[in-house]
Amino acid sequence: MRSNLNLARTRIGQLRGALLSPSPEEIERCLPGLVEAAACLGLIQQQLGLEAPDPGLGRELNALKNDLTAVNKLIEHGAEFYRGWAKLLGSATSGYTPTGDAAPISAAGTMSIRG
Amino acid sequence: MGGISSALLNAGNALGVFGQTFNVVENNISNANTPGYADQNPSFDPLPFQPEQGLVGGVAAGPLISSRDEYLEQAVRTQQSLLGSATQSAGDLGQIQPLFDLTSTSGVSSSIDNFFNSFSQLSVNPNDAVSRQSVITAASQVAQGLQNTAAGIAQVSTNITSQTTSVVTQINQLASQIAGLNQSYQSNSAATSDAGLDAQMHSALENLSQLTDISVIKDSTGAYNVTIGGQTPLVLGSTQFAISAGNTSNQTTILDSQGNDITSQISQGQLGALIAEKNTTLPGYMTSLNTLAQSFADAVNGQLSQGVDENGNAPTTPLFSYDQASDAASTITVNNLTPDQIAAASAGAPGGNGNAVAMTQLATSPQINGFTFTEYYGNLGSQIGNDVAGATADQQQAQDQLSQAQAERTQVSGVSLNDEAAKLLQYQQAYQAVGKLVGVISDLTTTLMDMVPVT
Repeated sequence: MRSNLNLARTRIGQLRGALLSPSPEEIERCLPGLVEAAACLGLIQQQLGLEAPDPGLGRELNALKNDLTAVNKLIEHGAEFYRGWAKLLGSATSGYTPTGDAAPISAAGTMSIRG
Repeated sequence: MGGISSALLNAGNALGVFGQTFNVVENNISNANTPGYADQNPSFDPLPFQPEQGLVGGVAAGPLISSRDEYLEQAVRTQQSLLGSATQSAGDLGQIQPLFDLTSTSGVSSSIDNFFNSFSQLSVNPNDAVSRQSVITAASQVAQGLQNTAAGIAQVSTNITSQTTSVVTQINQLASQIAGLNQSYQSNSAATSDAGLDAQMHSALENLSQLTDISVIKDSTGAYNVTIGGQTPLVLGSTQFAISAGNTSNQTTILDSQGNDITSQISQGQLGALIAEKNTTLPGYMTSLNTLAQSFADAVNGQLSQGVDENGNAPTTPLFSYDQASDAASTITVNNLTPDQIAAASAGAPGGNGNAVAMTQLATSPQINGFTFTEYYGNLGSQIGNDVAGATADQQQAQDQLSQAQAERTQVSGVSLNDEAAKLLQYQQAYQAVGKLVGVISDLTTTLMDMVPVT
């Protein structure tokens, strides 16, 4: 139980680190780890149905919850930042809509190929 | 020959331009760690190529283009303000917490327990002089504990006042520096593209944002106008409007250059935290401590007044006294009683232990808002502990968000619009995907926490 939880915390910790200096590639790199973390928690849930909880597991879960709160804040803050940045670029490229909102970004002729 | 000389001229010209480019690159590298410095990018202007008119083409150095973006700067400044506030709160509240150490054997909590235990001992031998003296000694320890705690809070409050003065001085110094830099911009338009001045300006603005919540607007002359709380001017062009700190009725007030009270406009940065602590948080703790001191003294005095002393007389002097007009906790004292004056017996049974027994029952009966004295003190200690833990978590969170904003500033500066538009789409998808997964993990964790008791 404890090793699954430790692995989940490690993955969340990696995401937290990535979010401190985010790039789409960096965040995407964390996605498989997060899927693994979710699977670990699912396993713990199954184990809890069969055996008594490991002493101190509650405290560890609380710490994981705190980590998740921090990660959530960073995600919200990062997303909010790029929403603001998109508004700024939108108004710079296409002005404003009749309702006063920044227009969507216009990047005519842009082609982005990845892979 | 004309072709060769044109080519040589071109090559020589281009070498000169690229030489300037190296200077720019060298300057960027030299200033890589200079606070507030933004990379300068050289630009190149093509020269006209009309051989028949003797115009040989080539390249000329254009103006330097700063990679600085004011939106990104503002995002960093906002986080600096939050971090300044959280760090100040965590530091100051951290000084209060040890005063309410619930595990200490010499603190208020244990001295209250000892006091009631001394009455318990007295009830066994109500006329024993040593037991009577123990009651007076234990009472003195309660009074001393409350006084020490009140004095500790008062000391932190005094420190906050002097820190406030220091922070206001720093704000005025930075405002003066910004006004001076604005003066340079206004007197010489070339100064607006000086990377060194630009670095000084943005370093000063970032330092200022740690101290208080500021709004910054760049005007058409290149000058930066700064307001506090978005309302009160601190710097307009080359003019500085100094603020000052006052202390009225033990409450901090911040005044603008005209003497108007702008305290309520300041909520972030170190100054915001100092104001909140001085005007709200510490008075709240002090009120709770005074309630405890007053209720304790009144309850004990009230119970003793119902008994009689060793000689069968009703007490004429209460055990505790405090100054009602001032803080009960800081003024509570034990009056100069002799051991025989402790009213251990009930009025109807002189020489007995009736009143001492009644006194011990005060320890376990609800006295303040449904709590016993030690429970009430424990709740206060827990509240302070939670406040400190909250401030520390806020500090960590603010540090994370500042790091994130600084990284975004580094990454986003100086990119092309097309690159940026494509990147924004990627970010949007990445944040959505990771947000959904974290939501699933968070739900799973909550489910598990419901299944496992948190100890």
